[in-house]
Amino acid sequence: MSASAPPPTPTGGESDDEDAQETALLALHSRALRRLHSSIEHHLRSPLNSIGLNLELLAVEIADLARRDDRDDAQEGRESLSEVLAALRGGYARLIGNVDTVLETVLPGSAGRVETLDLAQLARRIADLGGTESVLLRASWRADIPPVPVTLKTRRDVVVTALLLVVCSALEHAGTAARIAFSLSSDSESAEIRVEVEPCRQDEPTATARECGHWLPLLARRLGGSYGEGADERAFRLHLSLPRLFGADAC
Amino acid sequence: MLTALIVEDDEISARALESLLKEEGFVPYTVSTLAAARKRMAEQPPSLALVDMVLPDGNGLDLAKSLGELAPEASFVLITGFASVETAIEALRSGVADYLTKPIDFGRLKLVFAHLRRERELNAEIGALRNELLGLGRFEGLVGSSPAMQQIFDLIRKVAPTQASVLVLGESGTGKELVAEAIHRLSKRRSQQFVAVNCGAISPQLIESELFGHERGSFTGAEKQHRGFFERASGGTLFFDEVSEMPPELQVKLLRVLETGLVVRVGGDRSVPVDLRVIAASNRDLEQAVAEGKFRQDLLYRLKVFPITLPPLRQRVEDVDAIAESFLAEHNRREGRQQRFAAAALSALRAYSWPGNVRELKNVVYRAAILADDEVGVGDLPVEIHGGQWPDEPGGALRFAPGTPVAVVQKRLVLATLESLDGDRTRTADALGISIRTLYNWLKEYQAEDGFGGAEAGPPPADGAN
Repeated sequence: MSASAPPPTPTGGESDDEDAQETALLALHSRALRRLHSSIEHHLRSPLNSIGLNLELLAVEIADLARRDDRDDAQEGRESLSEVLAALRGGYARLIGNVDTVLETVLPGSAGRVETLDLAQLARRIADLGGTESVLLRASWRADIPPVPVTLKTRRDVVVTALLLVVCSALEHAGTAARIAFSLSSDSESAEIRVEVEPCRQDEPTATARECGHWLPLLARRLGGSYGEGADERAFRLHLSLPRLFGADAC
Repeated sequence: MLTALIVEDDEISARALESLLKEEGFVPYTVSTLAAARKRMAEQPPSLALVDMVLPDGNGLDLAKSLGELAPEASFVLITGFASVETAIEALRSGVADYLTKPIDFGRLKLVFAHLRRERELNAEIGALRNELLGLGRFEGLVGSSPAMQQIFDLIRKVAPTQASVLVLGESGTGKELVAEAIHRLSKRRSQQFVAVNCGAISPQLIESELFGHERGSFTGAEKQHRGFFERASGGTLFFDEVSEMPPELQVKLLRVLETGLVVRVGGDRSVPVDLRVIAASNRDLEQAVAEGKFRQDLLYRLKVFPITLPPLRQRVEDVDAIAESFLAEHNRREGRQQRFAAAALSALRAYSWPGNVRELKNVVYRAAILADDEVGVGDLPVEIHGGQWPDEPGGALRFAPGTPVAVVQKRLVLATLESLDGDRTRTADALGISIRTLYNWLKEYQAEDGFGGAEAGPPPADGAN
């Protein structure tokens, strides 16, 4: 995320304004995905690797079983086969989970559709991508997300984009050996997403902590425009406060 | 026994890989973090390391970078969930043997195993041949079975696989550059350049530009950009011979390069990263040079991480035969001849003090081989080696090197004739065509010179006895 990213500017009537905001949201979303493409690829290829290796092993075990004539030997062979099958099922389950993460991240849902979602699960999945990416940067990553659901009634596509932007902005500010802390907390009114990078790259602009309003497309805009506001020379911090109810429901 | 270390945090993949490696004849063991991998490698260096790039406590590539210290003999295969040109380049620069993208093509992994086995077989063969040569007193172009040289070979073997700077000390002609080359050949850098720079042979005006390179137009005559020795040797080994001759202002710059790994060309403002192992050599007492203010103490400390001091040839006389034989064999190969040394010639070589060390011996052997027929005898050696005196040649023939003093020839001839005629002075005088009185006088002189007593001079004959 560069400092020069201009916030989208409404240009005409209400409809034009909404169109511009949706276009800006999509642009921010696709930029964030490009930033995280290595992690997304890793999440798909790793479980495939586990499945591929176990298929290879399955072929070995089957050939081995065919050679065994002793009853005890055959029993042992069947047990080995069962272990490989269990490993294959484990790899398959991991693949399904990761495909869900990728789909949720890449195709977060139709624009404008409001739904109830579990922010904790979403944050875990996106934090996972950030964790992989930080290894490549040789930075350390710590995610603190409660193991309980944090429900939110909101637009899924906007929240996904917002979370991706939070993660990407942290990665952009992290140099080698930086410590990135990503956390989620909540109360009955709102959910708080915080990220802190220390030390942050001196050649990158820093952003102030910023509270965001109820209107979620605006949240993404504010995130997009928040870069370039230097506040702290050593650390980069970003704080999002998301209302747990959408729009008028929140009032 | 081939051992394999699997560094993978995905337990299912690690278990499958472990089973497949067992099928391939490896003894595998698995760890899930970089820290555990480092510990395991230090305790039990593996033959093969299969390392995932994304690990809970860091990047697997960082392990490859410390492979030289932890397990220099291990083959390192990096496994990654995403392939990028940048990581592939970084991996290859770190000495990674292969770079596999998930899901792993097991057929390709089997090729890695086959390559590793072949490499092991070849290394075993090379090791056996090396040991055989070592038994014959030969090690990487160096010759010597004396305890002093065996200790030097041991030091070279130990320091070569590391990244440590080495300072080779010794008199001129002791083979300091051969030691540096041996260290390079036995290191992981062997496939890269070995660049030797003689600091005393480059003019002070040019040495900075030769070492650091220069940008186009940085001085009159700099018509194009020039990469210096540092850049040309990057990835390999840079050998500074006669390092004490380096001008003081360049010693500061050399120290900076060694500490930062960055070079700035003359007239440039950009730092170029270089990856070097430095070996320096000197025939001067560098501590003394430091005391005299001619050499920087901090540079000496930086270079002297691992000092090797070569003994002069006179302190390992037992190696002279083998070294001389190896030079004669080299001459024979080059010239298509089958010359050999006479025992007396080897005795004369052993008796000499060799102020010019092995280099002087080499030149003496080549010169003698050119002069000699099938056998290199004492007479083919320069007079300063034998001093005109050497044991009789088989068959009683005497040979003299051109330039041998007449008095030496005369003495040798008289004594050899006297001996061949069983001490009969009259027959000896007749044979030599001199009077018996003259013979007596000469024998008396020889007796006075060196206590010659093989044939008593006896009383001179009465006048007119001849």
